[in-house]
Amino acid sequence: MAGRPAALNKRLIQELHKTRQEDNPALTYLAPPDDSDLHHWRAGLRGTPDSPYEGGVWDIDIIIPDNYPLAPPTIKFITKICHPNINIKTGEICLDLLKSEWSAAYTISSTMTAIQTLLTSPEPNSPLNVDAAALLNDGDTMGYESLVRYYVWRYARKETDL
Amino acid sequence: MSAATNFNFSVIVIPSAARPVAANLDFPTLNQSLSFALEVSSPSDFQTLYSQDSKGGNTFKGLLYVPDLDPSDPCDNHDLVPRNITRKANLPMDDLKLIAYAPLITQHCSRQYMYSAENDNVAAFIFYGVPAKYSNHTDPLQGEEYPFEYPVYFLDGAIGQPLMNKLSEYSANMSEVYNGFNLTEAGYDIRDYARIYTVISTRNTNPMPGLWLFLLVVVAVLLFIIGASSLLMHLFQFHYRRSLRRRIANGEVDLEGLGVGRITVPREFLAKFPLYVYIAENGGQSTPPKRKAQNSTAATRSAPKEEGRRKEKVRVPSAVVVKEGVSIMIPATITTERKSKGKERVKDKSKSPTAIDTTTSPEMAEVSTSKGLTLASPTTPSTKSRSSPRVQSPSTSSPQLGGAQTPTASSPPHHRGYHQTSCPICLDDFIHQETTVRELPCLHIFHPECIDPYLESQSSLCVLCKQSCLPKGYVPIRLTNAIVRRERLLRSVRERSREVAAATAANNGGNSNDEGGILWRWRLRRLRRQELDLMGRQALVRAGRGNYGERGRGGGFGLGPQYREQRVVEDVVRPRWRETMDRIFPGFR
Ligand SMILES: [Zn+2]
Ligand SMILES: [Zn+2]
Repeated sequence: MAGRPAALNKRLIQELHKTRQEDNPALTYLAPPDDSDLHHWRAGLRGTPDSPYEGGVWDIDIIIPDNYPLAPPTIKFITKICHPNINIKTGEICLDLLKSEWSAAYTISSTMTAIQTLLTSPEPNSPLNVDAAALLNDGDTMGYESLVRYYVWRYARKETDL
Repeated sequence: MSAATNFNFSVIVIPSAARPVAANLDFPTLNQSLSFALEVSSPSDFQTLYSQDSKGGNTFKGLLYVPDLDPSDPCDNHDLVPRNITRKANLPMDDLKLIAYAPLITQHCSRQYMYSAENDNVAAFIFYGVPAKYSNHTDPLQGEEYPFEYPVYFLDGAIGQPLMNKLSEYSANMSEVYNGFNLTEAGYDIRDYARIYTVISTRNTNPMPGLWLFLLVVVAVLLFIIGASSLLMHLFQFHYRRSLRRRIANGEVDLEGLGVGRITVPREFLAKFPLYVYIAENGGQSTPPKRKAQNSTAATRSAPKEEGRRKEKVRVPSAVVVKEGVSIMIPATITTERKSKGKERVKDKSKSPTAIDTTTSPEMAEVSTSKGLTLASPTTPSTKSRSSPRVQSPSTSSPQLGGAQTPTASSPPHHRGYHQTSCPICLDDFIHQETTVRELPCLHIFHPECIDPYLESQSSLCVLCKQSCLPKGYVPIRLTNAIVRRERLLRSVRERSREVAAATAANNGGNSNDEGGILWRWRLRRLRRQELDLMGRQALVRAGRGNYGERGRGGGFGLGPQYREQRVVEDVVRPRWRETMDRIFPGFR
């Protein structure tokens, strides 16, 4: 067990190395804000093309636990986002991948891709944003999408500004 | 209160010398043809005036006599009570059981008699009706607190008066009683006593017995039904448990999906997973892949280096080092040469839900069928050679396709793995001929120091493909009824949703090229689970349990977490009565 933190850091260095080598199209950036603390990362998540989230970029906060990658990272949206499974105030994400379905084979980068997937395939049955989920459950896709677009326009950073 | 059912009067013979035990009046009956006997059993002939006996079923026995009154008491009316009536003094012994007998004249007289009888310690009192001119026909007990313990009965006068006369006939010695001459002629001792002996049978007048009996029958029937259905349910449950055990043993059950909590791999199983020294296909060089068909079925260990990019693992029972000079069977890998083919194959791969390939370079991608087997392209020249294709299916029992090209089944097990060049947990590259790797049953390889703690503490599933690492036939959990129920529900839901999910997955899974397909497999699982979740919810709502969907915030998708919650509830909060109910009726929910 003594060797664990060292192994963890090695993995994080590997991941950092890898993210610098190859870009994840889902992200505008992915890096620890402070290179001395690999347990805290930041990312910019692109809205999925051809979705109401298109054009938006959301900042995401990633906290890596000590027993990563055995345990999943804690991931939160910093930028306000309207999504049935994301808490609009805290940015908390309800995603099985970050809980029971976590696997050590996921990297931070691939986890981000999964979160981008969540944007276009919400699960209104386990909502953290009741209003958005209600719209979806009622089949009001138009209302839901315009609500999402409003939040994109109002809060998200714009890809064109980058 | 118990009512009399029967009065029996007979004459018994008490030997003068006898000294009977008071409780036992077991004397012979006087010859019936020479004496008298009377049975009163018609309910219209008598009634029970008072009885403290609540149980009923008792019999009161004793010698019949008329209690003594004060000689001056007008109640001792000699028109009714003959002078030679049997009095206490006429009875042979003091401590015999007695039954008092008297006419029911007035309330006052009744009380006089009863007090006298109380002093004589009688077992019961029988009044009989007298003609109207003697009586005001009052109930002797009317409006009184009755202080006596013995029961009081009333006999109809039509029977009572003749009986009184009879009683007067059996008060003297044997020669003077009724038929005395004949009796002495018949050999009865003249000194013996012939007296009227009375037996009063009672039964409970309470209407309850019938009701009790009815209730008893109802309860018995209920108990029988409960017992029978319980037995039946236990039988069914036993059957279900056995079939579940069998299916788990056959590896047909997704144990993690059952939500039985964290299933880990015991150390003894972990120790059985092979450890190898990793040997890279390109011999540790980072040269670009040079694919070549290989004809040899056996080669020395030096061969891989010469023949370009190839990967193999050398089986080492537990030691880490491969001894020099050991020759290793190396089956030729299927090799492909052109990038254009590679791209084609990537497309194919994405259609196959079980294809697992962790390679990232298109050159290394392989055509895979939906069975998960790697097949060589027929046009590739290498297939003409006697090469054995690598089995890509995680299942070790999968047949090796392309057997026609494999002259011998000499392919050793350590050549069936994936093109894994790095450990998925720490992301470190494996070092050729140096890194010891642990191979799981699904053939994925990891650093033992990375995968062992994970399997021992986190999960029994492979990190990459989520396939169980537990051996077939191993049942890692105690199969409780709750688990059996849950599995049945899940299975029925799953069966209904399987086609839907497969169709959805086919529509959604087409455009993935993420790393190793692992993210894509998650998407597939998620889709399937969402489908399951919905169906399970509907099923449970139909079953009248609407709170299925109520979950804590951030509870996550899918059945897993929520069933886990349910399990916690079952284990902790369930009251004892439900536990008991569950034990009796294991099938109920
Ligand atoms: Zn490792
Ligand atoms: Zn695996």
